Amino acid sequence: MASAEPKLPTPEEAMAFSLGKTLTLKIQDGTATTAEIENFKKLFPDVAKVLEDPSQTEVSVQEAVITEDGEAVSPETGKPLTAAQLAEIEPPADAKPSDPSEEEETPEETAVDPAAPPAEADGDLTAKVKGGKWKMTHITHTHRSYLGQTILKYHTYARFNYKGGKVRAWGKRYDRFSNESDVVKIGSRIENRKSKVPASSATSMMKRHVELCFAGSIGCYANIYPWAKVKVYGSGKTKVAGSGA
Amino acid sequence: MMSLVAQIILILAIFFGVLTALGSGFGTLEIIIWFAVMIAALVFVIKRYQRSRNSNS
Repeated sequence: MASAEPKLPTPEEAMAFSLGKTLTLKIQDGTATTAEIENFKKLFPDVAKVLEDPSQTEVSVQEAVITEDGEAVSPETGKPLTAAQLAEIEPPADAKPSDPSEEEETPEETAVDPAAPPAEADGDLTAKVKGGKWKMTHITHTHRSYLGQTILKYHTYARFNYKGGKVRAWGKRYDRFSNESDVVKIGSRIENRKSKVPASSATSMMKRHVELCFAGSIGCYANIYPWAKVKVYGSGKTKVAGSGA
Repeated sequence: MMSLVAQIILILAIFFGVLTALGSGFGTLEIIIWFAVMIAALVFVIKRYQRSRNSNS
């Protein structure tokens, strides 16, 4: 009787394992860059959920879909949102709206949500946006200190319209900070990009400069650059990236 | 033994090196601790220097 031979990993599996091991060690050592951490989250999402990230940042995403009837519903359950739930997603009055003069428009994207149904033909996309669904994304990146105190929370908001597999328009985009500790000195927005629409997918990104200072602004001891990026698809799906530091 | 000025410069270099390397994760509490420990280190070095001078004289 022939014994079953042990299955050898393919070269791709071996490379992925080796890369995963290297990145895990770097993340746990605290030497991984933000890009490496984000790459790790993409490649090994299940491991990333349980791996402690010493960069001390956390991300949370809250979303609301405004249907063609104007009703705000949860994208997960489809149930109407309460006023309190909607208030958590919508930007408050102190949120700084994107200034059109500082916006950089990046070229149209062509990525398609693989889980979405085929795009419908829509010859009138360049016309004024009518109908479709609006979705508001509220991304929060929390930057914590080594002892677990919240240094700041960076909130970014982006509203977009989608229908028939196309992202049809960007709505208002904002950013703001909350829960700032005494050492935080908020600087200007240093990046504000949105990709051209209509397209099958689109990306919005905002980045700020923040200084950490004691004794007013005399003793500034660190610069951090919180940023948030949201890639949106014509199906309404969203994918976020970013960092609180 | 190093001169007092050299010791103070060394301590400041170490503490500011730590702040430069790890400062982005320093909140209010960490910066207060960092400052207090730096002052304590400077006081310790100065007192030790004074003691050694007194014992030599």
